[in-house]
Amino acid sequence: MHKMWCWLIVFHLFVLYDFVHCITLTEVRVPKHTFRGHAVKLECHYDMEGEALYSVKWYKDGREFYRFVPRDDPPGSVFPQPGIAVDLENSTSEQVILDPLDLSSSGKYRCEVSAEAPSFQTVSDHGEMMVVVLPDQDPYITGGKPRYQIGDPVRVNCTSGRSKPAVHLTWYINGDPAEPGLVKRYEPRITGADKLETSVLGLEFRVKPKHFKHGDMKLKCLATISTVYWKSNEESVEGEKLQKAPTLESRRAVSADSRADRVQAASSNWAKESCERLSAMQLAIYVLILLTSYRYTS
Amino acid sequence: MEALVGETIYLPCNVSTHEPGDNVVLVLWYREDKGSPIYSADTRGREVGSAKRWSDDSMFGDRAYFQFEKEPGELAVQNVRETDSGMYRCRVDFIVAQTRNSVVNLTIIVPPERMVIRDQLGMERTTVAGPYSEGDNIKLRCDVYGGRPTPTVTWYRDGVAMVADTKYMPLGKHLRSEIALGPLTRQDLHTKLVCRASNHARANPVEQSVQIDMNFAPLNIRLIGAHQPLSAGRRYDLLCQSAGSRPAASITWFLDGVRLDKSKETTSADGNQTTSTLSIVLNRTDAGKYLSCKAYNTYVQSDALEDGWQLDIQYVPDASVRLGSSLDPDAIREGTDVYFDCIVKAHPAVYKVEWKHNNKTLTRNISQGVIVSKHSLVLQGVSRTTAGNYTCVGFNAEGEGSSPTFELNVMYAPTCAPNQPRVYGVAKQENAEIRCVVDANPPDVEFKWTFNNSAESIDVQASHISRLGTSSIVSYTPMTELDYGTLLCSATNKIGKQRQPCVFHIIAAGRPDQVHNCTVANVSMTSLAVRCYEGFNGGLAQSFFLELRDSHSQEMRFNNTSPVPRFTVPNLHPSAVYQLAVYAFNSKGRSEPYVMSAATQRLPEKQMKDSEKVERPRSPLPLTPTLSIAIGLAAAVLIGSCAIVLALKFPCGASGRRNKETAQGTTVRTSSPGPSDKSVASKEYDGNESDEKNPDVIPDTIDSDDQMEYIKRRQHISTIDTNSPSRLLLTTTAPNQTFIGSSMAAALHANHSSTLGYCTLRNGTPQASNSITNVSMCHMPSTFTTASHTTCTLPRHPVTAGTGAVGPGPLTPNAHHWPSYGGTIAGVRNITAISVTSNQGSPAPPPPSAIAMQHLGPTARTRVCIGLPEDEVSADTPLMMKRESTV
Repeated sequence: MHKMWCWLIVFHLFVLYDFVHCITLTEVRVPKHTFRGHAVKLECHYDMEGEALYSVKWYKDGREFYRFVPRDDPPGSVFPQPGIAVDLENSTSEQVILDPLDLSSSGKYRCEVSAEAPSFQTVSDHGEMMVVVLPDQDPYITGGKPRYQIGDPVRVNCTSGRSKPAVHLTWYINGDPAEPGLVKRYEPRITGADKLETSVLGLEFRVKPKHFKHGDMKLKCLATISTVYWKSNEESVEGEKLQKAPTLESRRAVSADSRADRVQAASSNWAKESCERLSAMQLAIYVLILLTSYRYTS
Repeated sequence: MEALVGETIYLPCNVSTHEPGDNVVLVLWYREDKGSPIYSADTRGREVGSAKRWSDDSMFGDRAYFQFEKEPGELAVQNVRETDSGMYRCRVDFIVAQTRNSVVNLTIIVPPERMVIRDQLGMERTTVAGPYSEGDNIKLRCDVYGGRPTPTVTWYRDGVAMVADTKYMPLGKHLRSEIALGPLTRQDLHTKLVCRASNHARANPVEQSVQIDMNFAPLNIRLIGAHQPLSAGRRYDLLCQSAGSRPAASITWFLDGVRLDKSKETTSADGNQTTSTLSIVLNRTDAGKYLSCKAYNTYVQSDALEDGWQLDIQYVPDASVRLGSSLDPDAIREGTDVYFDCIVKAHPAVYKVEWKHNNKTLTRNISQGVIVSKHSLVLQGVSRTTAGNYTCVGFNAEGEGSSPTFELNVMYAPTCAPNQPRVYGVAKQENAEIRCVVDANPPDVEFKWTFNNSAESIDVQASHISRLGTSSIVSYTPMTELDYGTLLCSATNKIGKQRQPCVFHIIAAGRPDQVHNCTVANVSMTSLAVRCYEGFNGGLAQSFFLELRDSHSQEMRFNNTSPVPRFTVPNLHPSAVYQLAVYAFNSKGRSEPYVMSAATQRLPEKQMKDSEKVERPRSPLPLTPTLSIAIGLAAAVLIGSCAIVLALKFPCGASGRRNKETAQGTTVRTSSPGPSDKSVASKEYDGNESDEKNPDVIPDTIDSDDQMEYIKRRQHISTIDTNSPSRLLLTTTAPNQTFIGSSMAAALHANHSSTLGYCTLRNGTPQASNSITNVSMCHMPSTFTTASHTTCTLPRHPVTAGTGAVGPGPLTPNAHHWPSYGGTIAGVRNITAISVTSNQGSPAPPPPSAIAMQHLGPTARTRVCIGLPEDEVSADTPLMMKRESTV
């Protein structure tokens, strides 16, 4: 009886072996944003599921720049290319250190893991990384008057500091986003050898009573770079009907932090697993078969 | 890269390296959708030639082989399949150089698998689509199965691409290309439509084609020879043609909407034209009817085409004769004016109308009252000859048409038919059947017979009359002299009474009269010719007889019989004198001889003397004709008186003269009848009669040896003869007048007036009583004449009155006959008396109407009394008359 059990288990394990025996790419970590001059660690985690590792290869924009082949000596080797500065000392089969980062380091980074012969099962995934240069100054508003009367035209510009990529500017009137018709856009200005960009956004409208809330009209310019930079500048204007002479106040507000986002592996086109796993349905069927066969044998 | 299914494809993969000391270590082939490689060639630790290869069986398997030696290296895949299509990545790992990844897009071209053309109903069409009708809007689909990449489907019409609507049918996973055509016209027939599906220049396109089949309604129809006039009764083969139908049209014929069968259809070789032949005989009644042929195609919903025309039927004139409306065809009498119309129906119209009478064409003849005008015929004053069959004949271009005959019945009152015997010679007590034939229309006639004699006119009893159609026969037996006379036959039909009755003279049949005016001519030495004029034939056919004797020797030298009184006597002696006697004879006997003397010429020397000699003895006789007459008369008186004396003295005289007293029933019995010796008797008379020409001479044919009874009979007959009025009729023809002339006969009638004879002719009712009274009267001998007067009807009176005076006159020359008269009268009287008494004695008197019986009665009795064989009586009762007396 027990022998039978054992044989059945062995048989089932053998059947399931092919499916189970798949290497898996557990995680590929490529930060979305990095800063020029900083270092970055690219991580590639996998589960060989008992297979021998043949190679781990890193590609930037399709070109191999680092490989780790255990059979080679040394196992890690680097293939130089622009924007890639590998810290070979600290790079292993599961991570690569790039230091320092350059603006040309932005790109698509792929990790490809292959098992040994004969199947050479291969899994890979990738992540996009952007190298960011933060603005050298906060946004500032120009063209504003100290006092506005109802019906007066308002014509102001907001200008950001030089950055890469270009800062995204947004106008707010009394805290509400300005209607698109009032906003005037300009192409970013590219300046310098490093081709950093300066963004300018205009705002033009006639003053109406609704613009004054509690006697004030507040114009705010918000500058953002993705999620890594967040700064605004606000000016307040006093309405004329108030006895108090309207003044334009500029207040400096929030500053933003930059951060690196985790790569979402699910969006990858490349296989994260080297082979197909049993689907839940298939598993369920197998379980059912097993249960019934056990019942019969017992 | 592209490859056709089944081909070998070489997928490139660059394995070259430029790094020194570098080499390939591993070649991996991936399919984009699979994480694991599908092919690997591992050269780590070995030569490239002996690379460790592996191929995924679920993919290429052993079909793939990586060829390092090929520059820059390629994966050969044999016999590619449709499933081999896809993106392939080749990763080449080098010892030194960067790993090289290259991508190849492999497309396997699969030609279209199959193609089906379907019509709107989804029916698969392999060669022919349709048949469609004109004006149809059709759709055809081309379903293309298989093919990678997706084929392009194109429809071509006669090589030109068409606009088609192609879409992918996800359900059947095929392409469907649909074209719309229409409205279809005749030109679209046999249009070839091709559907072509192709997906690669290197792959053979798949094609399927259909031809459009169509049904057409007939385009035209033509009845050949329409609108022409047709002749009635002729067989025509009419043709009707229709073209343009597909399939071939059916042609049907109609006459005024009635379908006609028996037509034959033929189709031209190309099937385009159908010809139907109708063999038809039309008649007059079809005129104006609409004859048409219709062509239709049963496969096409369209109205049939029709062609036809109203028949114009020409025919031979149809004529009929119509009697004028005012005329009653059953009441046309002679003299009526009759007119006919010829009713002609004809097309084309008649150009001539002819009339025919009994199949002879009539022409205008005004003098005969025939007027032929355009379509009518006038007959003026029709007569029986005008009657007959009339037809009129119409002529037109079709021919001549004769009408049925119209029988014109012209009615007329009876008239006497010509060429019928008018004189009947009948012996007394002989039954004669007098036939009267009349011509009458209608022939339904009634006859009336009347007996006329000098004395009276009596209607003949109906019982004696038999009628057969338009002829009537009276059975007539004259019993007495009074029964001789004229029978008038008069017929009546519904038109009227016969205007002129038929007259039949009943005369006593007797010996022929003597020939007269004989002349001797052509006298030669040895021959002479005799020519006489014949006298009355006695009511019977007569022949003539010549006797020539030597006047000296009385030797018979020549005799001959001839139907005409002309003789030629040959073989005579010259200068001899001959006595010639010419007789006429019939079945009743022989006439008196006409006696002449003639002398042949002398021999040339003595010619004159001989002739004188001959004439000398003759001269006394002819020289004095008056004298001879006187002598003759005297001799006759003498002989007559002698005869009377002798007769009185010797009742049974052997001289052969008649004795009236011996004419008794008892004596008659003893007598033996025998044929009379005519020759003897004639000899006696020869001398006298030639000169006397006495019509009343008793026939002398009776032999002198005849017994008394026979003589008496003769006497009896002869008296009748003398009384016969018909004798006179022959000369005068008017019966009424003859009676006056025959006064003597009338007297005799009156004298011995046999009541029997009268009664036979009387009508039934008066006779019954009369006959009886007559008999009783007649028994009184002294008063029998008066009795006869009283008994008999009026016509007798004037006649009897006359007889007394006139009677003896003419009788005197026949003095020698007179004794016989008395005997006759007595005899007759007695006989009648006997017969009547016997009639009376019989318990039932004979029916008064039975004239025949009454006739027969006495006759039979007479025979019995006389005891004569019937043969003798009939054969030897010749009578002689001498009416043509100079007196």
